[in-house]
Amino acid sequence: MLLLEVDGVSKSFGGIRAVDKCTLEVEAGSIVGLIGPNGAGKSTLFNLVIGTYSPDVGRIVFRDERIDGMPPYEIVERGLAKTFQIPREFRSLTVLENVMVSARGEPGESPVLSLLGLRRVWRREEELERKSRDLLALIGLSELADEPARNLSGGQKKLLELARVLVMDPSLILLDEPVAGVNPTLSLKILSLIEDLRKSGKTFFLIEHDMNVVFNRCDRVIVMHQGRVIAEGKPAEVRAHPAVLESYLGG
Amino acid sequence: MVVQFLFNGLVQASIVILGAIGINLLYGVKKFANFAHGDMMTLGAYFTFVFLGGTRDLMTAAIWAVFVVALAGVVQEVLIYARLENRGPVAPLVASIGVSLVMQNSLTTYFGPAFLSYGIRYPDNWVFFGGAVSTNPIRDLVPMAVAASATTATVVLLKYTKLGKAMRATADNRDLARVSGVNTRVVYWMTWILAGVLASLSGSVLGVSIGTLAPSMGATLLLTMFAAVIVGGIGSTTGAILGSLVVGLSQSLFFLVSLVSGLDPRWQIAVPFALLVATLLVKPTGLVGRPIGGEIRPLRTEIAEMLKGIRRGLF
Amino acid sequence: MVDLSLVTDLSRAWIAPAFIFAIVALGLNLQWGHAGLFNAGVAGFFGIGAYIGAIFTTPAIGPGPGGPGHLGLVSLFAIFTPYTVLIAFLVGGIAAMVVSGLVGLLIAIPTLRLRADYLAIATLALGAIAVESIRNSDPVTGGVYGILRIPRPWEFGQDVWRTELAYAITAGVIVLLVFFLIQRATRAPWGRALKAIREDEDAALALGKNTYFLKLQAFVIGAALMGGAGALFAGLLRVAVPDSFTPALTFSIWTMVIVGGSGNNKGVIVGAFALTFLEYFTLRAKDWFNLSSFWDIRIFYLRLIAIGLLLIALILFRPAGLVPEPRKVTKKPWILFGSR
Repeated sequence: MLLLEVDGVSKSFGGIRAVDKCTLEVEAGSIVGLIGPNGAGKSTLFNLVIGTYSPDVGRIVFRDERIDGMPPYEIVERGLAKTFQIPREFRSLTVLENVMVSARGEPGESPVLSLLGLRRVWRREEELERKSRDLLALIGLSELADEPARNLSGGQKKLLELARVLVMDPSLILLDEPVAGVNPTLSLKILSLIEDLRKSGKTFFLIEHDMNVVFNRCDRVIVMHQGRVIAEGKPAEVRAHPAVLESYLGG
Repeated sequence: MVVQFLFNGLVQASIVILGAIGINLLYGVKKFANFAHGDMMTLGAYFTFVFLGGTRDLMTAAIWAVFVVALAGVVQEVLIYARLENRGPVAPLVASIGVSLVMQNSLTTYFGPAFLSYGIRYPDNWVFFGGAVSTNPIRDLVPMAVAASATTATVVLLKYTKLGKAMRATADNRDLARVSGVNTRVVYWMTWILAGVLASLSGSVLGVSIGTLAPSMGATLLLTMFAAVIVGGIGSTTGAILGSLVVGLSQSLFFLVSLVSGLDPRWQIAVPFALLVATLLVKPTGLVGRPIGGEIRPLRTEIAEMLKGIRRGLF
Repeated sequence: MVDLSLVTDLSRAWIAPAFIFAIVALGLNLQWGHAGLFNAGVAGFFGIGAYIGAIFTTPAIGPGPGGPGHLGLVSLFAIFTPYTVLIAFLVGGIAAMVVSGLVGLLIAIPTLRLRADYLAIATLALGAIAVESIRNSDPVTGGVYGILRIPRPWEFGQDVWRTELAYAITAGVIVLLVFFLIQRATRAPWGRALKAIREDEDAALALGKNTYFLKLQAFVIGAALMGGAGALFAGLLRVAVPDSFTPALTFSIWTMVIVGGSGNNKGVIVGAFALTFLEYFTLRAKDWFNLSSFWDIRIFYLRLIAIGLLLIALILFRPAGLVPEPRKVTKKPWILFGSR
């Protein structure tokens, strides 16, 4: 089943085409890698999918519904989530609150309900805290749960990014360089976590520069260059693709 | 009569323009809105008054004042704003409010709240075009001449000198400018000096034009200057010039309208505000401004989102 | 026997204004401390509230200063109930909140989608225009003469100290109520979402928060609080004149919030008391220290210089304020309502 379809999407910034008639698909339950040199438009494409930018032309379809032009919060509501390449933690919130604030559909985020101090709001809040603490335990940040997020190391912030999207229960997770700048042990941990989550039914679409990760962990690989998709297929096929060799791997 | 009002609009614009360019330069290079800019003008006007006591010559006094205000700019940069780098646009803005309070009230404490005057004896008006335009050579023409020459000089400086290029490079991308060998600290100082020079000149000119000095004279123009900057497009010197012209001309045309329609002319103060809000609604980047950081979503979308939020219920 | 004139003086010139400014500061703290929204037109919202409150309550006294155009709810309700002033006062206060909130909404709609300093410039302009409009709308606001003889509840005739103390207590009770409600809302998921927006709006947007709507809520609620406080202020002074609502007022409210520690509701109230005391001190310094007439005039400007220096020093050295915000945002309140 197709989960995400990007169809002929373009986006320009001040005359520069960051994404140029991009077309690609992501199957449900797979791990899809997106590679390409710096400035190929990978992050912009992710921002278009999650709704931070809206495409100039083209369609983006998620679960048979057009999502291009929707604001991010509506897209997130439909089960998409994205991490940032450079972690964007809320610096003065605690690690736990960074996770909790990312949950979707919390009734307490209405000022009126918060103000009234309803029991059901705080029941939800307690459930959410339990769930968030479990997630922090899963990624191994439990001890730091009550520290302000600014005190985390770079690698820990990457883990926090992951916990923040997992708390939303998304069906498709966009990961922007999940293991870049992370030490090998932690990186291995993140990757096996992704593998486990895939087995439990989640779909991953990830940007990565580490070719070992891409070619060993992904089911399919998509290559972008100058805003366009120049190749896609199984890792082995992509590795042998002449255009890829020339524009990217060969260089 | 229309010609006369257009002419008055130009006079109005020429007082606003120098301050607006300064605000814009600081916004471009230092990335914050300087709420103390009006008070830097006042500082210039008052120091002109101080030096006038010694020199007895307005022009010399105004030039001495320029040095003081430029120095005040650099001192602010060194003591305050240099330490607020990387703290976002709002921390320096709040600091500039503090600076504004200190400047304006120091002047009031020292000189007292009463009006002062340069003691100029204004000559009779000159009449052009068979009586279509009547103008005072000192009250109206001096401001225009000073504004026109200072603006031209600034534009030339920004466009053709090495310093101007360094300033524009810093405004575009500070880190990139630094890497390519621009000494950004010097650029910051020079920006303050330039903004200070222009502010001081416009303060002196304002004093000459209206004939009296008050501690709040610059601060009351702050709104008009910001309106000019935003209408023209923040971050563009051409924009500041165009914006000042638009605001100045609309203000004086409003007088004409109020004369014809019987509308209370005191509402003139609302003109810059209306222009400002209209610009924010229709084209937030202004007449010639470049897009500023990130995508500005259309108002339509934002309002739709708000309504959706309300419909879905605050509850 | 206690010197009752001191009670009168302290209530009227320090305690009651401090409570009223505490409400304004709580409103600004909601906008700035919690949601990171810069409002440079606080005095405008406060002034709008003051005039709306005054127009609703004060009876028209014919042409001339303080002239016609007022709704005069006081005389209207007098037909039905002995609690006329109190009812008129409440209605006026609510109207002040509604109008001020609506003005906030109108200015926020176009500017909240832009960079933070656009809101600052737009609200600065709004503050100036609000006061100018009040000054120019003679038939409604009495122009430069303002609205005079604004009624307030709990008058005790000759016992001036009672009247003043009662009003200070009223303001105090309202502060407690506002604090209680704001504290609830900001230490709940709503406040947490606002803080996320303050910390990194783009991240909050990408994580699926309706940032525009959340910012709008915080801004409008803050503006409404400022308006309500304005109505209380009009009652305190018994007159509403345009000169009460200068930018200097905005900036001293800012200092209250920053001194108290933006994001910390308790600290902000402390800040309001401290800064209002500074003002009280400058008002009374003449009597206490035998100031010459030269310094008697200038001490007001010295106060503003002190505020300016304080603002700069805090921004440079203590940006979190003297009482920093609590580490964890949310806290379950003691009293909960509703089922389940």
